[in-house]
Amino acid sequence: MRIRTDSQIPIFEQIADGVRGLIASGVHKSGEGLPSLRAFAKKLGVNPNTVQRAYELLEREGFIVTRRGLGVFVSERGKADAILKAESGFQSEIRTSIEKAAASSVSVSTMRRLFREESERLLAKSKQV
Amino acid sequence: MKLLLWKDYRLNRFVLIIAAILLVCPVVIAGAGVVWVDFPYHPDSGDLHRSVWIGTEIGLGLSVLSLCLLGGNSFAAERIDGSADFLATLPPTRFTVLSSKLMLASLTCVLIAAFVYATRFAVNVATGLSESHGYPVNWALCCTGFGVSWLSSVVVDSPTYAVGLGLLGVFFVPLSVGAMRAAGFLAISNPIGNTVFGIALGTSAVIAGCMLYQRKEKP
Amino acid sequence: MTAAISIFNVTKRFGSHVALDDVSIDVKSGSVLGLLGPNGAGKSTLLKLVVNLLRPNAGQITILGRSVFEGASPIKSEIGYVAEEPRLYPWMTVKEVISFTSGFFANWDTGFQELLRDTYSLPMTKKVRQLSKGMRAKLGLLLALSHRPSVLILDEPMSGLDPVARDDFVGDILDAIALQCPAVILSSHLLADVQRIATEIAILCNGRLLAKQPIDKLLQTTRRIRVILEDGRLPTTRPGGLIWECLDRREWLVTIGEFTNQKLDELKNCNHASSVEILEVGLEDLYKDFIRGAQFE
Repeated sequence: MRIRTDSQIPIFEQIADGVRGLIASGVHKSGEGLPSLRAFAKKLGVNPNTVQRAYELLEREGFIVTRRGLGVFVSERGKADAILKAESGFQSEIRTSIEKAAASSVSVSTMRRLFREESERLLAKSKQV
Repeated sequence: MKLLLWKDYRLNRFVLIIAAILLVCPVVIAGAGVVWVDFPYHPDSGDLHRSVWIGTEIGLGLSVLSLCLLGGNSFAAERIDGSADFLATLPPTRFTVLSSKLMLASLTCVLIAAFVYATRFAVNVATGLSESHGYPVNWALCCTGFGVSWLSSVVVDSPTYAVGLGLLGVFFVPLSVGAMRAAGFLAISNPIGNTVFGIALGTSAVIAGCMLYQRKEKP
Repeated sequence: MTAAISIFNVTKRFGSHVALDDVSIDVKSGSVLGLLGPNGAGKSTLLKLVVNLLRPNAGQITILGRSVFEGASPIKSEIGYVAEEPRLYPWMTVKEVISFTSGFFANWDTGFQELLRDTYSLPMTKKVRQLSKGMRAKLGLLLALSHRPSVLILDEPMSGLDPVARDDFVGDILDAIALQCPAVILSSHLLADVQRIATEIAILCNGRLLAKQPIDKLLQTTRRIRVILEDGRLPTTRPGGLIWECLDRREWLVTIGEFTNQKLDELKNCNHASSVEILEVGLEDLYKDFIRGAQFE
């Protein structure tokens, strides 16, 4: 996980995004512990308060649970939720991409064609594996 | 306070060594010179007495320079390497910082006086002679030199300038006394005039320096 | 709860030059204020006022509710200060500087100091003047932290360090914050580092405070918007909270604070715009917009 300081997205949201990604991809499985505030903050090189805010956000959203004295753990339905969140993230990302392309006068039919081509390429790659 | 005094001593160690050399060397040279001239015979006690006394007088005269160095370094030296700012962020008050510097200077003066009087006393005892001539002009000029350079050190940022201003102050004393006598404002002799004026200028400069340091914005 | 550091209506003049003009800032315990601004904006002056190296022409500064301008001694033991290129006694050895400084603090924590000394791996027998810039910065930080102050003032502590030493030093600062939770003011030009360390941002320009906000809020509510205007049209309606704008042919860039979708609609509907788009910009760009906007006035 890399922290971007050239982005408009606050660092705590970037951390939350990163952790969601790690949960969705299965790096952190349900019931497993996440690194402590200080260790995580040190690893990322950010203020522990910021990691705390990220954890608070993730807990509010139900991805993680805090067990007093033990630490922070991935919740039961963490993975499913994270995948859902990734889907909506993907949707907003393509929306921005589409808007951007439209501003540069790319036609909708071209966008459709390009999207189909790209998704088929990914499908072919996953079949090979 | 002990720490500050240690710091001021370490800061001025080189100056203090120079001061010791300037004070002791004339006396040693004077004494050794007489012994050497008369060797292998016993030196003439009158000669020995006179030249050691002159030696201490020269040592005192050179101490004017040492005290100018000491005074000029007192604030400006720390300001020029920036450590004055560091010290100002630590808990000791300016008054404590000031007291430590003054204490070091007084201690130096006491040591100089102790050496001069001890030497004179020793040579009096050794030769059986006693003498008390001259006026304490050198003492007064020491006071002027230290005071003026101390005050300058509070005001200017360069220790060199502060020392220079102190030396100028020292020369200013006999010149102005001479001028005033020539103009008819003073009816006293040169040595008395120099002594009184020198001490007055020196002490008032020390006091002015202290007051200014307390009120000044930058340490 | 009163703020750990409270700067209230402070004005500072140097001759006729106004270095700080009626600045008020509060910093709570545990929060880190990143103080930003161009050279000569008054950042260093402000921090020097807080540590009582300068005296203000007007206004008050309190630390833990006590004024810093009177009875300085007890308050100074609550402050840790690291200056830009800390000017310690160059002729002392590291060991001597530490024992010299420790002697003035009743609340000096020797155990903590030894811990820091070992983590920073400071060469104790070297003279201060022989230390590298990075080492000197670390020594300055050690001296500022070892009495466990409740207020930490860092004035451009990373400037002049190479990237590796800087990263290292940022880590040290973060560690110190995690261990002690003091109220911190950090001034720096290195926005990426500030963003990692700070929880709040204050922007100074020409002695005036332009903005003071939690860093996340600033990023979330300030937006740079690109408006493409129709042929031959000029901007007519400017939205509230305008920070900076720049018009280049049909492209009109606007940076606004307190962003809402309503403001976006307003921009589009009241300005003969053919399109509006929110641009992705980071703290550095937003900071520059603040400064440009202020200098343009």
